[in-house]
Amino acid sequence: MYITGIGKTKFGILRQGLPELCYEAMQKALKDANASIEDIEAIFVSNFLAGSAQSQLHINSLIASLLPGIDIPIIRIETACASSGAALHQAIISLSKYKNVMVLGAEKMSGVGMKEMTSCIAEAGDRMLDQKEGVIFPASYALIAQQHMLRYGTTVDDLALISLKAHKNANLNELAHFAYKTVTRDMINNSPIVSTPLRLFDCSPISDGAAALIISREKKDGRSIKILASALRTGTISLAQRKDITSFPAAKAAAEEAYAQAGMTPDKIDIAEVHDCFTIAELVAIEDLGFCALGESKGWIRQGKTSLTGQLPINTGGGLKANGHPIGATGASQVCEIVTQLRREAGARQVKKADIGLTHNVGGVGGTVAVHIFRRE
Amino acid sequence: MIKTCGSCKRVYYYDVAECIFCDKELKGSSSGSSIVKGFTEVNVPSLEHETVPYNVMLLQDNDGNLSLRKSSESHIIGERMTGKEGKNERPEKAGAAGRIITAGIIGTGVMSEGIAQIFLERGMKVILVSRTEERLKAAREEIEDALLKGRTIEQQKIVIAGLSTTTRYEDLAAADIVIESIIEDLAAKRECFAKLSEICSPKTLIVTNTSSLSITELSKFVTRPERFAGMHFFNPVPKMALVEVVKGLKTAEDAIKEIVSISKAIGKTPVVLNDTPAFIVNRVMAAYLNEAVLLLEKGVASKEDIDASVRMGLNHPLGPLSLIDLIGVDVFVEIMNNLHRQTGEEKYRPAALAQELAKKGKLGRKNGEGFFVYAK
Repeated sequence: MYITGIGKTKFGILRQGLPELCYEAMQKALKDANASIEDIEAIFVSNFLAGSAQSQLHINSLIASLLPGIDIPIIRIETACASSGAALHQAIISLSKYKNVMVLGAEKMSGVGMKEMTSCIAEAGDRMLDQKEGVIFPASYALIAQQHMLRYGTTVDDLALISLKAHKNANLNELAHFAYKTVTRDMINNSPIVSTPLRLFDCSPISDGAAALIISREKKDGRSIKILASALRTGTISLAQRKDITSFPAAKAAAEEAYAQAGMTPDKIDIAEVHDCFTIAELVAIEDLGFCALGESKGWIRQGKTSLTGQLPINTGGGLKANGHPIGATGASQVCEIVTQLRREAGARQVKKADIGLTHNVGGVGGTVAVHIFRRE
Repeated sequence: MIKTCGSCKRVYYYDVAECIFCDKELKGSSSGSSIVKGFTEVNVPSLEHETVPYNVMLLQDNDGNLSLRKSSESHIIGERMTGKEGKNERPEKAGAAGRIITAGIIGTGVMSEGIAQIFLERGMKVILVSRTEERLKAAREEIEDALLKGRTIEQQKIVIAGLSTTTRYEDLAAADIVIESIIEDLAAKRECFAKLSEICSPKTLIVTNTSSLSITELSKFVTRPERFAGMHFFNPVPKMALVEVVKGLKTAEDAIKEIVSISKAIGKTPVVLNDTPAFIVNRVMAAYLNEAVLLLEKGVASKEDIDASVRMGLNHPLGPLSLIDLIGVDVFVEIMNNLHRQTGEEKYRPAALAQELAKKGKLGRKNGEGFFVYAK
C-alpha cells in the first residue's frame, strides 16, 4: 500500500469556501500522482465542524457535486481533530476492495465569530462533563500542562521552545499558515494568557485549508511512499474520565500497534509529524510515541533533538502550531509533510536522513488517535 | 454522576444501570470530599461561558476519580472540597461564606422562579414562600421543567432536592438571605417586611427585587435597615447576567459585600449603586424610550423607521416603540410618572402620545394594539 499523490492548499485565513478548498486539494493530489479522477474508486472525506459552523452537512454528496458525473462511494469520517487520520485508516482498509482511493480533509474555520468558533470546537468534548463546565480545549490542555509541570518539572520555557521551533519551520514552508511571520521569544513571552499557563503562542490557530492523499494498492513510481502501519485507537472523550491526564492511553496503544505492524521500534523513526494543537501536546506526544520515557520530553526540546537538524526532527512543516490546524485537514496535511520529506522534496526544510516517517493525529484530548508509519522505497 | 461496577470496578460517568462487561448493577459513588488537583484560569469567552476569566478545577475524589468543575473563584492545589462530585449542580463553595447558602424567596412570579432556579443550579438551598399551596405547586412545576433542560432526570433530581416550598414565613427563620419579589405595592411590601423582621435571625439579609420603589423608603419597614438592600434581577433571570445591588441610606458596607459575594456565587455580575429612582438600567431605558416617543410626536420619522434605526444602528434586538408595546404602554406611562414625581425633573414627564394611547386603551401587545397593531 502506497501514498501515490498528495495535494495541499495554502493554510491560513483564506478567501475560498469549503467546496473550493476541497476542489483545489483534490486537483493538486491528482496532478501530483499523475492520475485522473476516474482512477479513484472511493473517497473518504473528513471534516469536523461544517455542520455546526457553516450549517453544511452531507459533505460526501457535496464532494460528488464537485466531480460532475462521478458516483463512486464517498463517505464522511468525523473524529474531531483526528478526522483525516481516521479517514486515512479507513481508506487503507478499503484497499482490500479498491485499487486507488482518495482521502480528503478540509475545514473552513474563518468567518465565524471567535465565541461561536470556540464553542463549535468545544463540541468535541463531553456535553455535560466538559462543555457545561466551561472546559474549552485550551482549558483541557492547560490542565494537562499544569499536571505535566507539577509531575515532571516541565516549564513554560519548554513550551516556548516548541512554539519557536514550530514557527521557524513554518517560515520555510510557503503553504504554512504563518509562513510569513517571524516569531521571537519576546513575542511569545508577551502574548496574552489564554488559559493559565498557556499563552496565545501555545495554541494552534484558527485556519482554513484542505489536504488530499491518493492511496493505492500498487506502487506507481519512485515517488510512491510505502505505508508500513496504520493504527487507530479510541479513548474517553473527557479528561475527567481518566485517572491520569499527562499521557493519552489511546496514543500509546495506537503507537504500540503501529510499531508492531511496521516491525520496528521507536528509535527507527527518522521524522515525525505529531499533533501539537497546543505546545504541551507535542511533549505528551513525544512521550506517548515512545521516543523517550514519560516525563523526559523536556530534555529533548532543551537539547534541540527535534529541530530540523536534530536526532528526530518533529513537525518539520511547522506543526499544527504554525503550519495551521484546519481541523478536518490536519491529519492529511501531516502525511503531506512526511511524504514530501521522504521524497526529498522539502526544499529549504529538507531533513537529511528521512527514510522512515510517522504521523500522530489526535482527536479531542486523546479521544481518538491515529498513528501511521511510512517508508521511502 | 459517577457510577462504579461492584464487580469489575469500571467507572461510568453516565446515567446507566448495569455494567456492560459484567451485567452487574452499578452503584453511585458516595458523595465524599474531593481534592483540587489542578486548575486553570480561562480567558477565552465562548457562547455558554461569556464572562471571563473563570476557573476550571480538576478535582479528584476519594476513589481517585477525576471531575472538572467551573468555578468563579480561584482555588489552590490540595484544597479539600466537600460534597458530590462530577457535576456542576453542587459547588460547595458559595461566595465568601464558603458554604451552601439558604435563600428564602417570597413570591411565585416568573422572576421568583428564575431566581430560585439560579440558586438551585449553584447548589444553594431555596425556600420558596407564597400565600397558597396552589401557586407553590405551579411554581415548583415551572422550576422543575426549567431545570430539566440539559440534564438527565437523575441530575435534575439532585438539583431540585435543594428546593422546599412553604406558606409559612416562620420557615425562613434560619435563611441567610431572603429575597422579596412580590407585587410592586407598598402596603403589601410593608406587611411582608414587618413579618420578616419578626421572624428572621439578626444575621439574615433581607433584600428586595423591587424595580420602582425606594430602598431607603422600604428600609423603614424592617427593624434592621443596615441588613437591608436592593437586589434587582433582570428578566429572564437565568439568562441576564446583571444584578443591581442597591444601597439604601442605612445599608451597611458588610451587607453590600455579602450580597455582592452571593451574586457572584450564583453566577451573576453585580453592580453596586446608591439608591436612586429606577436605579441605573431602568432609568437610562426610561429616558431612552420616552425620547423615541417624543421623536415620533414631532414627526421626525415614522414609527417603523425610528425602531429600525435603533435596531440596526445600536444593534438592539427590539426597537423602542416595539419595546414599549411589549412592556405595556400603560406600564411605561406609570414608570415615567413615577420617575417624574420622584425626581421632579421635566425630562421624565411621559410623552403625550404615550399618555394618549394609554387613555384610549391601546396598551400594546397585551391587547393587540399600541404603537403598532398586532395580529391576535
